[in-house]
Amino acid sequence: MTQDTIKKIIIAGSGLTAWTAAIAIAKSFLNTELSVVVLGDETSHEEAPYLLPQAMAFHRHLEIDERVLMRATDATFSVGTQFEDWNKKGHNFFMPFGPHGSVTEFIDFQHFAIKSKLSNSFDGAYEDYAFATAVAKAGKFMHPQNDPSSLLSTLPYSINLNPTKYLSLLKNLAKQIGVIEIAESIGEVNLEKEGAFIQSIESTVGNLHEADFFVDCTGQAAQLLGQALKTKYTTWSQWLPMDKKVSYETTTESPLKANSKITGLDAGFLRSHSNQNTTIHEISFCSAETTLEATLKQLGFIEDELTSVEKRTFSSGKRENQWVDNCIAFGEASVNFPSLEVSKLQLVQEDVMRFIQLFPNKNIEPSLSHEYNRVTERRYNNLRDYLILNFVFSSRSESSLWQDIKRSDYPKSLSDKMRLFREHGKIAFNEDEIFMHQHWTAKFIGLGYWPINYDIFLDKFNFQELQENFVRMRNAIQQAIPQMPDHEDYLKQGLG
Amino acid sequence: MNQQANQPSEQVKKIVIVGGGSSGWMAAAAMSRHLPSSVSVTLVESDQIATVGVGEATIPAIRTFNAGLGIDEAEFMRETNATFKLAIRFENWGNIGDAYNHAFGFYGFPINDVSFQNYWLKMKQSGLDFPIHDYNLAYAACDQDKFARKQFDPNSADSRYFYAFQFDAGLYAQYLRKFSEKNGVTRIEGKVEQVTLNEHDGFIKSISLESGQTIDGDLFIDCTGFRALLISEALNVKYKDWSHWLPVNRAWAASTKYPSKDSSIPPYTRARALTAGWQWRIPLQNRTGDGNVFCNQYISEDEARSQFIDNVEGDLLNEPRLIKFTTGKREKIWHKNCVAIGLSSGFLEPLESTSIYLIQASVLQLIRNFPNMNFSDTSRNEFNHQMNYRYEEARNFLILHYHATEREDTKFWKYCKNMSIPDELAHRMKLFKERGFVAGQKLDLFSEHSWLAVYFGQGIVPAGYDPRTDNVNNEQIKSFLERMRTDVQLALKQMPSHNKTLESFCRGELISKL
Repeated sequence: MTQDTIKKIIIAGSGLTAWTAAIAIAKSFLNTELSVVVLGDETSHEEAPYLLPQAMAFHRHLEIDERVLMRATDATFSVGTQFEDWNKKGHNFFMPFGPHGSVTEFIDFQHFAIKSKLSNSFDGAYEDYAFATAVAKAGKFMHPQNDPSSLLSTLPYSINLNPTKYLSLLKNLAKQIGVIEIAESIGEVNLEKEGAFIQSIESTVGNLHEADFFVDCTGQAAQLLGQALKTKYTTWSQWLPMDKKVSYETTTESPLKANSKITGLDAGFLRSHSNQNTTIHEISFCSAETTLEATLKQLGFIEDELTSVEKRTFSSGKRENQWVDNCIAFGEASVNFPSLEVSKLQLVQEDVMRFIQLFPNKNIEPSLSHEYNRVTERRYNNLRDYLILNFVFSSRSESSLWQDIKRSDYPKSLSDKMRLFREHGKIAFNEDEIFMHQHWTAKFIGLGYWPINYDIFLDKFNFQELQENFVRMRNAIQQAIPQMPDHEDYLKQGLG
Repeated sequence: MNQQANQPSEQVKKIVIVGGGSSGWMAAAAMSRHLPSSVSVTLVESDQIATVGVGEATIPAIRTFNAGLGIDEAEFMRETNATFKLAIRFENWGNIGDAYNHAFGFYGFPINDVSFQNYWLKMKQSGLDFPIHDYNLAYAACDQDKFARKQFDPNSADSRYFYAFQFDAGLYAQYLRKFSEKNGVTRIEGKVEQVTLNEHDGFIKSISLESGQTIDGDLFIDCTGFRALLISEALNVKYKDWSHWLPVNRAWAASTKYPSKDSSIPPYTRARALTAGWQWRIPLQNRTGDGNVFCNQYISEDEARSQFIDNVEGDLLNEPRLIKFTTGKREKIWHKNCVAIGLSSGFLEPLESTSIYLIQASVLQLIRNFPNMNFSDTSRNEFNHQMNYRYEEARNFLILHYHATEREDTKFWKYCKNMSIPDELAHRMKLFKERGFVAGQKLDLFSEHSWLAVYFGQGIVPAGYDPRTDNVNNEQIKSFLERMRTDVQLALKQMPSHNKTLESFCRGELISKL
C-alpha cells in the first residue's frame, strides 16, 4: 500500500518567485511522479534580489555551483549594507552580515561596548569591531576560511545578482529537471465548492489546467489566494507608508565594493545594488509626501534623462494566511514591504523550503497548513518589526513621513523589544526570527539607540584586559585588510 | 513611545536565597560562579526543614549546567552516588502490557534531509516490520543494561545519544553547597519567621529569622519548595492549577536496597503505570529510589501505599513517606524583586524528570535577564515569558503520556484518555497522526527524537509520511534501513555493561548511610 500523493502542481506566475518555487519543488521531488507546471506569461519587472547569506545554502541545495551562478548572473559579493544619510543627513552606519567583536564567556560583545561607552572609553565606532565593515569599506573581498582562529572565518557573505539574468538561469535549470512552462495568461480560477479548494485555472486563451495543488506567485494581485479564495490582506501601511517604487539602472562604477547601499531621502530611501556591469537603483517613497520628480531631483536626476525607468505602486502588509486549502502563496501574493536589507525573494526561498518540509499528500492534511501558517505569521511579524525599527529614530524634518512613522504606535512586540534593549542591552527572544539577535543589536546601535546598562556579569572580568583584547582585535582587522584582494580583482580572477 | 529611562541604573548588590535543597544550591552555585565580587549571595536554610528531594532523575541538560560550573563529572558522580541514565522505561502506558523506552538517543539517520521515521513508515506500510526502536542505540542499550560514556556525535552510528544521571538529590545539594561556599556564598542556618515588605512598592525588604537576625536584600530567590514562603505567602502570587490535565496529586516515596553487590544497575528510570497513577524506580549506585504517584480522587492514600509496597522490588530501607502536591505553575514566577525557583514556582510531577531541568532553566534565565535596581518590567517579562514557555512545553509533553492511551480499565485512565488537552499539544499530535511530522520550536527542551519515542511508544501510528521518500526506491530504502539496524547491533555489541562503566569511571564510596 502506498499513500496517495500529489501528482501535479501548478505554479501560477512567471517571474522570479514562480521559478524559484518551481525549481525548488522540482528538485525536491526529482525522482517522483510529481509534475511541476509554471503557468503564466506576464513579463513583470523584477525587483533587485537582496539576499542574505542563507541564500548560498539555498543554491547549494539546488546544486547550483556558486561560480556558475555568479558568472551567469553578473553577480558581485556582498558582506553587508552601508546606510547613508539615514536618521538625518550625514548619519551613516554599516550593517554587516557577520558578527561584531566576540563573546566574553556567555556575554555578548555589546555589553563591553556599552560599559566602555559609559566610561567614555569606547574606542572607535561599534561597526569598526566587525571585520565585514573594514572589508567593505576597503573594497576588498575573499571567501571565508574554515580556520576558526582566523578573522576570515567570520565573514558570511551573500551575492548581488542581476534579476533578469537570474530569471533566465533559473528557468533553464528548472526546465532541464522537467519543469513544464505553459505561457498562457491566467483567466478564471475555478473552485471545487463554494469558496474553497481550487479545481482548475482557465487561461485567457481558453485552456483548462487542472492540478492537485496550486501555488500563487502572481504578485500583489494574488489572483488565486486573494481573488479566488478571498484571503484578506492585513495592511502595515500605518507603519510602513511607502507606496511607490521607481527603479533605474546605471553603469557600475569602479571601485566596486562588496556591499549594498541604502541612502535616506526626504520621503523614502534609495537602494543601490551593484552587479558587475550594471547597478540597479530602487527608490521607495511615500506618494502622499512627495513627487517622483522631486525625489529624483534630490538625487540630481531628471526623469527624462534616465533610461528604463520602472514605476510601481505597492502597499505593505501580509495575507492573513498564506496556505489555504490546496493553495499556497509566495512572494508579493503573500507579503509585501519596502525592501531594505532583504527583498521578498529571500523570503520566497525560505518559505518554499519550509513548504517542501510540509508538502502535503492528495488529502491535503489540514495540520500541515496550520503549522505552515502559524510559523509564517511569526516570521513575517518579526520582519515587520525589524523594518519599522529602521524609521523609528529619524530626526529628518524635511517631510512629515518620517515624523509620522515616529509618532505612530508601534506593534507591542517592537516596543517591548526596544525597551528591553534600552534598559538591559538584550534582545527579546522571539521564535522564527529572520534577523538574529546580533543583527537586531547592530541595528539598534547603528541607529544610535544605545542601552543605558550593560550586563553586570561582565564585571567578573578584568575590564582593562578586555579593553586590551578588543584593541588587539581591531588592530588585527586593520592588519588583515591589506592582505586581501580587491573585490573587483577577486571577481575577475575567480570567475574569469 | 513608551517612557524611557535615560540614566544607568544602580546594580543589584545583595541576593538572598531562601531555602537550600537542589534548587537553592543550584541557584547559589551558578550565581556565585558567574557574578562579580561586588554582588553578595546569602543562602538561608534550616537543617530542621527536610527537602522534598524527589527529583533524583535528570535529563541530559544537567550536563550543560555542571559543565558551566566547571564540575568534574567523575567526582560529581562519586559524591552523589550517581548512575548514568539513558532513558525512562514506560510500562503499561499506551496499554496494559506495553513497554517502551524514552531513550535520549536518535532514531536512524535522515536520508536526503528527510527524517528517518518517514522511511520507516513507508517500509512498514509495504510490509517490512522491524520495530522503530531497533534503530535507536540508546533504546537498545537499555534493554541489555549497557552503557558507554560517549560524547554525542550525530555523524557516527555509535554516538548518536545523550545521557543524564540518576543521583541522590540531597548529596547533590551538599556537593553544590561546598562549591558555593568556596565561591563566597554565605550560608545562614535558621528558620524564616517573617517577611517584611516595603510599604511604597510592596517589594520584599527583608526577612527575619527565629534567632532575631534580619537579612536585607535587593533580590530574593524563593527556594522554599511547596510552601512558597516569599512568592505566595508574602507576595500573594497565585498558583495556576493544571490538575485537570495532570491529575496526580500524591506520592509515596522510599528507598530500597539492591539484592546483592553485583545486582545489575539499569541505565534508566522505570515508570510503571498502575490503576490511578504510576510507580517509579530510580537506580543509584548504592540503593534505589522508589515511589508511587497517584491521584487521591481515584485511589485512597492507604490503598496507594499498599499498592506501592506490593509493587516495590527489593527490601525497603525506610518507611514510605507521603508527599502532597498540586500540579501547576505560579502565575508569575518572577514578581517584583522575588524569583521563585524549584517547587515554589510550580510542579509538574516527576514522570519525565523535568524538575531539576526547570530549576536549571530558571537559574540560567535569571542570569540572562538579570535585573538592576530599577526592577523595570522588561527583564522580568522576558524571564516570565521564557519560563512560561518551558513549563508549558514540559507540561504538554507529560500530558501526552496520559492522553495517548488505549486504557480505559479504570476511571482514572478513562478520564485521561478522554480529557481535553491544550491546543498546542492537540496540534502537534494531529501533525504527527496525519503525517508523522514532529513540530518543534527553538526553545523546546524535548527534541524530535523524544517526541518520536513517546508518540510511537504510546501507540500512535501516523496515517501518512513525507512524500519526498518517493525519491528513493524501496530496495534502496530497505538496504539503508538494514544498514542502520546492523550498525546499532554492532555498536551495542561493543558496549560495556552499565555496571562496568560505573566501576571504572566513578565507583563511589558508599557515602550516604541510610
